[in-house]
Amino acid sequence: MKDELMWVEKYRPKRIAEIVGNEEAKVSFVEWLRSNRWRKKAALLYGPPGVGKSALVHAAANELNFKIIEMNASDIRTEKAIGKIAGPATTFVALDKFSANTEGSLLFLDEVDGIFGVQDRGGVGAILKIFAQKKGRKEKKTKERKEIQGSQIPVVLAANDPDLRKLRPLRKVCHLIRFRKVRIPLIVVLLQKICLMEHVTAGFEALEAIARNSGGDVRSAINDLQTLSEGGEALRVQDVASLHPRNRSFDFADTLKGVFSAKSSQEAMSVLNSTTIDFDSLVLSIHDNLPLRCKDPVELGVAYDLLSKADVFRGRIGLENWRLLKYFFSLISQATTVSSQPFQPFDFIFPPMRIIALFWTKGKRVTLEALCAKIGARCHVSRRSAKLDFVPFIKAILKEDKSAPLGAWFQLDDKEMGHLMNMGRL
Amino acid sequence: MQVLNRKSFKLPFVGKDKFVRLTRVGLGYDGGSFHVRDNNNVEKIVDIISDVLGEKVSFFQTCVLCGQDFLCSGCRHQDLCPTKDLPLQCICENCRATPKLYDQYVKNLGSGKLASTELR
Amino acid sequence: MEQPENISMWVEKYRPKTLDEVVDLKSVVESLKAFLKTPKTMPHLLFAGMPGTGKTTIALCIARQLFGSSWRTFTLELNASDERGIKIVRERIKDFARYTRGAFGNIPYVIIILDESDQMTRQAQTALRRIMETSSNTCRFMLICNYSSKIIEPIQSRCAVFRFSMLDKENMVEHLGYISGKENVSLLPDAAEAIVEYSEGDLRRAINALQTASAYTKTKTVDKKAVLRVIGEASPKKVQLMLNKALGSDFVEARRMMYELMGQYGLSGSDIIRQVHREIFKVSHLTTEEKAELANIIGEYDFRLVEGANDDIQLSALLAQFSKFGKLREAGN
Ligand SMILES: Nc1ncnc2c1ncn2[C@@H]1O[C@H](COP(=O)(O)OP(=O)(O)OP(=O)(O)O)[C@@H](O)[C@H]1O
Ligand SMILES: Nc1ncnc2c1ncn2[C@@H]1O[C@H](COP(=O)(O)OP(=O)(O)OP(=O)(O)O)[C@@H](O)[C@H]1O
Ligand SMILES: [Mg+2]
Ligand SMILES: [Mg+2]
Ligand SMILES: [Zn+2]
Repeated sequence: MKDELMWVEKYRPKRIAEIVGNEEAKVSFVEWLRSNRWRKKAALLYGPPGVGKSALVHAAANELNFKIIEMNASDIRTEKAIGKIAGPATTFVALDKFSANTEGSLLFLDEVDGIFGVQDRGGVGAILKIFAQKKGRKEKKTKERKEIQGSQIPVVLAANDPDLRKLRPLRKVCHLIRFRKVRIPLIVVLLQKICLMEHVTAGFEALEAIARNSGGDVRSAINDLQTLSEGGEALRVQDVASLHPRNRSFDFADTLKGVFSAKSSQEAMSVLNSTTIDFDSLVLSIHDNLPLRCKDPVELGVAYDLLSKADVFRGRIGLENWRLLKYFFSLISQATTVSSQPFQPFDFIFPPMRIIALFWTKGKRVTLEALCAKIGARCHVSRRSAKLDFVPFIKAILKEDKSAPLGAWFQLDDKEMGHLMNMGRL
Repeated sequence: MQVLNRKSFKLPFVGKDKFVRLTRVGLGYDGGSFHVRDNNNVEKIVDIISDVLGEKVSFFQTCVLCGQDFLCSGCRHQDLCPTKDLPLQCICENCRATPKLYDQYVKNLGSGKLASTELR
Repeated sequence: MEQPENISMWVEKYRPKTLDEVVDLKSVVESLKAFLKTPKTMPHLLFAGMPGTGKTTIALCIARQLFGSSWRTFTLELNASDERGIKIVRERIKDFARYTRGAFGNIPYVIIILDESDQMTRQAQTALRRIMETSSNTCRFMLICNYSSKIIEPIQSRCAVFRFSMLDKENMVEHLGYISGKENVSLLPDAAEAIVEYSEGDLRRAINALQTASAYTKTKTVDKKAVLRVIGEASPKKVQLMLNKALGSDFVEARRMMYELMGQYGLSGSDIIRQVHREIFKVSHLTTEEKAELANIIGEYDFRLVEGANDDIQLSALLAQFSKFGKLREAGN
């Protein structure tokens, strides 16, 4: 790619008017944000990927001077996690009044689809709870009611999930705003503008072809435009023919199925090019599911080696070196197509194992870290060293000699002592 | 084919049951004329009205640039358009040829030309 | 100051308070003693060497001997791997330097001990280099690390570098004997031998093992049996199990255990890889060549771990290599 930056980032709309299409949704959202908030405490923006949902929230916040407090898919969406981040934000509303020349904060829970699944049990509950809290306050006095509510932090949710049944509990408290796919002529208009800014010569018909191919997904249209203009020559309709048709909604299952069932790495690559999954979730889910596709240990070793290299590129890409993206994709598509066996459908592991593994054990880790910090302070070592070089011995001593004054000397509390004695061996 | 305007439209007397069906999907009604509200499921509305009238209905589109109403029937993206016939903003054939469309679009939208009153 | 009687971990109780008490390390101690005579000439110091060889001990000794009983006031001890990043480190150093302004006697500086400084990122080290420069007339840094190669050149060039070699076995046995005497337990020669063997030159490990073994005996006599029990008890069973699963080509189970290690114990990728490296040499059914080959693979993935974005992916990949290795080995037999 010519550019260091992805154009979707570079041309992320800064003002509401710069977002093409979905005019009604824009108006509806802005009205809600400006004045209609007393009716519904939250807004839920839902619709297909890449049509400007997140973009609208950011642009509106920018234009109307809201400071965004954001949570997205990588945060674990459970009652606790949400309560922890959202709790203080919604509770300390009053403070925001003092911050000058800003309307205050806006809590944005992006990509909340996850919360509707089983794995984040409690997620929806947690969101509802945020509102319940507010209701509690509302009951105080009717006089204050308007004022308090008017000053509350707006909560905005965004999701793809078109399955409204799952959203039902949120309906009562959420102002629903539906986004639709963006119409082809509107996408063309935006592509034209980008070509102008990027000094790309492109025929009108070529742009139309890209827009038509995008299936109404603006993000993917911009991505395709950037990919195609990489060559640096004038863009013609014929060039667009090489694009993978974006019949869209390449969600998790589609992407994984696509890359694992691909017969060649080229085919897998073209799937990757049209996926909407973010890169980190992508490598993680491939990491999780690889053994289900590749049963032979020798092939699996080869596949993981490629994935490991892909991850190294992910590390190098960081936040700016997007030109390395192609190596990342190329390695992943090689990794998923190592197996010589024909593809047999299997149930994908989702959500990422890491999230599950780390989530359920969070409490244990926190206690262990606290305990190790105390050991570290006493014995002049880091928590890591405390964990590895001291904990096994201390535990063994205490097991044998209950009266050993170690707990007291390290100033461990009952919880920490209990944890130390009951934790499994490394 | 019956063509309806996005802002408001009248329907012949349809009877109570059908009227309830229409309002249940969220269609607004103010003594005489119906209007589509922005949170409506427009696909459903088109289906129901078509069903109620026993005839396919189409909505006018509104041009974001010149504000004119026009029909999808002349558009060459009909084959692929994900929302064809739904009453939404688009760009009419005439305006598609205008240079610097995007700047014009941003200007129109920014100046509130498409403000809420018009869209309801 | 605490009375020795009250200290219940022997490693702390018997940590030397002056350079003269330090075991082994003669040449290091001699050079440092020279600085104690003319403190003004003491440069920044960098101590590099394997764990448990006396680096932190010596740093603390110097602080004690320079500032006497008020050493704590003039010494800031930071564990680089515990502090979140250079920003916090920088602030704490700044605050500390400001707070202790005004010197102690004829010593015009305060001491900052930065332990585990090889855990700092390059970026953080570059920032540290600036700090060392700007605060050079009010602070002396003592940087401590396991691998000096992970410390950037410009920092090394600002320090007097001392390498700590592994402690001599005989000296270790002698020191363990000394501690046993003080604690009124008798340490049998073959038990001492076993402890020293197990601890691989790490005196901290050795003393911890000794204390644990003595807790195991009712008779105040530490024999080899007690030591072997300690070794069994303190060995990372889960890591070994994971390793065996992987080598037995049960990748999925090995990966599950990896997540357990990360989840329940909060071990980082490099913690696990370090343990794996240590344990691989203890796997009895592998030949020396095979162990060397595996160690090589571990090295490669350790390297990628630093560069990559996700620890778990790199570790899984390593485990998958073990599975592949196990499979090929089985096929070859
Ligand atoms: N309607 C639009 N107008 C202009 N640019 C857009 C529009 N939609 C998307 N984009 C471009 O695509 C990028 C991604 O869009 P955005 O993050 O808003 O998608 P989204 O609707 O939130 O999708 P998802 O459901 O996948 O999160 C934006 O940064 C912007 O560059
Ligand atoms: N040379 C030594 N002389 C006497 N005791 C020692 C020596 N080296 C280590 N010890 C003992 O081991 C314990 C740990 O040593 P120390 O903290 O100095 O290790 P370190 O070199 O800093 O290790 P790490 O690299 O893990 O930080 C000390 O409390 C002391 O009891
Ligand atoms: Mg989004
Ligand atoms: Mg140390
Ligand atoms: Zn027009």
